[in-house]
Amino acid sequence: MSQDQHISCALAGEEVSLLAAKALYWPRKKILVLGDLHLGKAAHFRKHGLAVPATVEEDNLKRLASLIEWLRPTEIIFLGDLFHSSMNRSWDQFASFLKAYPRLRRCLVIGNHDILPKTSFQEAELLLHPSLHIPPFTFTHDRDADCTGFNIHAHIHPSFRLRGLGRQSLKLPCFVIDRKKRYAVLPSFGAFTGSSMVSKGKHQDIFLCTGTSISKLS
Amino acid sequence: MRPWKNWKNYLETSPNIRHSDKEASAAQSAFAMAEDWFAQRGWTPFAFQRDTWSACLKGKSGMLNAPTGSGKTYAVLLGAIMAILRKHKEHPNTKAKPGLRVLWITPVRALSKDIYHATKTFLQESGTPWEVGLRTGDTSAAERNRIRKKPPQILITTPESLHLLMASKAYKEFFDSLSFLVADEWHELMGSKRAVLLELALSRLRSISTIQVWGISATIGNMQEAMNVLMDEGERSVFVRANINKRIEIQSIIPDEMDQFPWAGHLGLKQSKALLPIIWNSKSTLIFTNTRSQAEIWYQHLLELDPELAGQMAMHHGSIDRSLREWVEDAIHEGRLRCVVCTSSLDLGVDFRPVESIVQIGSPKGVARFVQRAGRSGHSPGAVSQIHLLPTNALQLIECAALKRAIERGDMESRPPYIRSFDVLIQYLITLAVSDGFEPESTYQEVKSTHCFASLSRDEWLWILRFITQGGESLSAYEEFQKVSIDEDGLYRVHNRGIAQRHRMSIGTIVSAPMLKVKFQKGGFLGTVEEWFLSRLNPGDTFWFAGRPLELIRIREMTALVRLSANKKGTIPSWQGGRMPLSAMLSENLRAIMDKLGSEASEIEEIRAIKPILEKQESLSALPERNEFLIEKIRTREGYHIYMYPFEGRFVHEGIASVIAYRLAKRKAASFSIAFNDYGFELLSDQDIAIDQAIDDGLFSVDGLSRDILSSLNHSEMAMRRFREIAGIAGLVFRGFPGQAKKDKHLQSSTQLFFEVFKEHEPGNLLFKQAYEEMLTFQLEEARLRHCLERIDRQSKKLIEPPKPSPLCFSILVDRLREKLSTEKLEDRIRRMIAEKE
Repeated sequence: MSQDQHISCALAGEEVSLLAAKALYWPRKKILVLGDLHLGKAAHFRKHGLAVPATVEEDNLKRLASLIEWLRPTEIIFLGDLFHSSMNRSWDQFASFLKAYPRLRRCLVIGNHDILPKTSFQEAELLLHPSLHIPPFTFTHDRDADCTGFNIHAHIHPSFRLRGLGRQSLKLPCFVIDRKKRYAVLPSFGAFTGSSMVSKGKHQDIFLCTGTSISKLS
Repeated sequence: MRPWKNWKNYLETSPNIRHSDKEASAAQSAFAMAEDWFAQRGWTPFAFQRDTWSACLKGKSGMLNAPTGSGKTYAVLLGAIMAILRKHKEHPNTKAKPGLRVLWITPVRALSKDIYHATKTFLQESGTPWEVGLRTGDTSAAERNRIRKKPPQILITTPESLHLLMASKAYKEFFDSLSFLVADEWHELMGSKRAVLLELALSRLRSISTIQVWGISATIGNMQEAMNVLMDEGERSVFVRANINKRIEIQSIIPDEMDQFPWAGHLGLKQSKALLPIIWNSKSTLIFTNTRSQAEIWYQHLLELDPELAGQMAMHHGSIDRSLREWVEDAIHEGRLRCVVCTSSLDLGVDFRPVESIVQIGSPKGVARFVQRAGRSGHSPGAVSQIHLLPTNALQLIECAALKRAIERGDMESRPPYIRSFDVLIQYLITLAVSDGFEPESTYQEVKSTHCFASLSRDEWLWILRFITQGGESLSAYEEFQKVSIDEDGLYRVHNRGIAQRHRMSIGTIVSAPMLKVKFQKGGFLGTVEEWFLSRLNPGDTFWFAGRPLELIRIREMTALVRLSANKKGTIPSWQGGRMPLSAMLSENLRAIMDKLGSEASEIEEIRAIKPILEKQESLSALPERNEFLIEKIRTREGYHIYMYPFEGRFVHEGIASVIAYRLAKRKAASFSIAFNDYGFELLSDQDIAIDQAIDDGLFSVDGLSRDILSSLNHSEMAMRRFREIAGIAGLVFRGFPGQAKKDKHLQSSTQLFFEVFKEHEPGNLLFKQAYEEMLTFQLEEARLRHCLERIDRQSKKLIEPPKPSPLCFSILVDRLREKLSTEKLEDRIRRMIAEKE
């Protein structure tokens, strides 16, 4: 794994890694944090006759597997919108995928899309939380301005438009870190999840992910 | 309604009447019916009408090339009725067997009403006991049901409604007695995906019943091709031309004081006073503008200029509520309006006999569009169509001259038909699957028989079948894709009711930018405005719409609530679709005029009028002569500007400018901002560019052009824009409807998301590839761009560094500003810039 696949930075005095693979890693605690997987979205569409390529679902799990292989975390925190909609076979796929990692602790901070019955999550041994506080961080799905810790959240699927020569432009998923308001936003991890454009605020840092590399916007 | 009241007078003096016809005797009785009816009305048939009748009687298909208001409807309608009567050996006055016999396809609703009344008039007066029905998007559910249960002998409909009929069960029985299909105003459908809809429907109808097909078309550049698209291969078809030469008289409104006339601008209000005598001297005047915002501005301005127009003037454009538009159309028809400010929304449709004068504000950018508009006046054949052209800036006078030249030469734009529109094919196959299902092999043969899909390979066909049954290439173990299933009998069908319902709702949807409804708070619908315009306004802001100042109260869901505002100053919505590029045909004529600008005394009045500006251009820079290509370099506070003038229209200029900027930046790192209009383009950089060396090294070479286009332009963004429509037509996106369940909400997505996921996971997807094909063909017009570069490469380059902006580059400079500033501020800015220049 080469250098430009992650960038280390200090948040609230803790060192974390922002990964080109659109995830955050907290080395001291060995925690991997992922936002907005929207598993089962492609399957949900296909079930209703909208032809999203079926390989999208496999792609999500493949990328997740290679992250786990690489980092060997002891815990994963999903920052909500883990599953896109009502039950379909992608959930079984995901549940059996998790069985391969029996000692991996997994938490889900509930997101607005997570409408599956609680029992389904529990069967996959996911610990459910409305929000999760592990000092110095508070993990939520959407921003919580009143939370006690440095807020790490997802939900908005941030991306940034880079403009180049001529009329070239490129839209890339990104991390947004605001040191003044004390929060960090993760890009959406899932494929076929879409994004919303953000601009760079005054006290913000933006890190652009290309999938294979990550770079800080100067 | 009596459509041909004034016919008698000119018919008697028409030189084209032929009284004997060899074939006539064979079909005497059928002919007699038509002739009797004409005689009863005091008319004598034209030669082209008799020719059409006898061709129809002989069982032929064909194309009638005739302009609006020439009597084309009765030529084909009576021909169809005669042919059918003879086929069934029926007497005109006996009760006809039930069942659909004639399908009359029109592109617009307004026109279909007109045809309906004309048909009714004939059936009644001639005592032919046939029924005629009308089925468009407006038709009530009850009437649609009645038509389906008891089909009329003649049905007037649109391509979309025709597909909806094919989406209902047992459609084959509905069509099995069909003998005749008419594609009216075929030139309007040609060059659009709606023509593909008709081609596909025809391929199926031909397998159900033997039909004669007739197209009716105004003159276009590719007449033969237009006919081939409609006709069955191997069929010997007839081409009939109506020799009615409508004379068009063009009057350019030339400003009195040329030195006061702006060098650039698109509004043209400066000369508005010149319109008043035209308006007051004719019974009724149509004033055509190119954009909806321009119509709003002119309407408001004319009212201020002459308050007496209040109550006698109306406005008509595509965003205004349909009922209001229909009221305006009726009022024009009945001669109750002195003047109407309108857009292309009135290009087509009903005959407006009371209209005596036409005014076109700004260049119409295309010959065909102009001729169509000119034809809106002087509706009796033989009458001279008078059209006044009001240029909005000095350079547009050259465009006026180019238009005159084109019309004199009989030049007309071509409408190239769409080919390989996989999105439409997918929609059509699902339509068939929703009703009675389709058999793949025979359907493949039918589809391949159309012009659009003649080159469809078996592999592509199999891909499409997989796409609608499996949702793409891969079939994983966890497959749950549901759309079209293959039944045991081998037929492809849709079984899921939700999918069938969503499909019926989306047939023929024309995809456009999201629109918001504009409504009074107290009720009353005004029309629709593009979302991006309203999203820039805050509650309390005033804007002009439908000729009234409105105050925005709030936006709720997809509706903007407004009240009348006392504030007369307000923003005017601009619509994105409004900026048409100069057509290839008009560009060609424009360059021909430009070639001769250098010569001393011009015989063209428009060119004589702009003499002072041409002299200024010559003294500051140069006038490009024949086989010369002018390049200007200027340094301003903004940086280093390079101007080039290919005179090829804005789309082509956008492409060329990007390619040139890319090639220059490749030689030496530099960044450019690009601006362009219909005459040329500007490259602005913060450093001096050694353009002469670059030219020597092949700056304009066509070698590697395709590659450079793809690397210079944001091609994926442009292809994305095309993909939006494709995804809508192919049914990939589901927009949802009010009150939907959460599960349905979870089905919403953007076309962009689909585009990206195809790019990554399924680059071989035919819909994805189609987006790129369409971008190259229609957006960039790659072929035209290539020709243009070849021409420039051959020309000798004239590089000049004028001391200050020349009139030619000034027009681009202003266009560039326009992108950034609102209308009002722009006027101020231009005024200031002119002051600085003097």
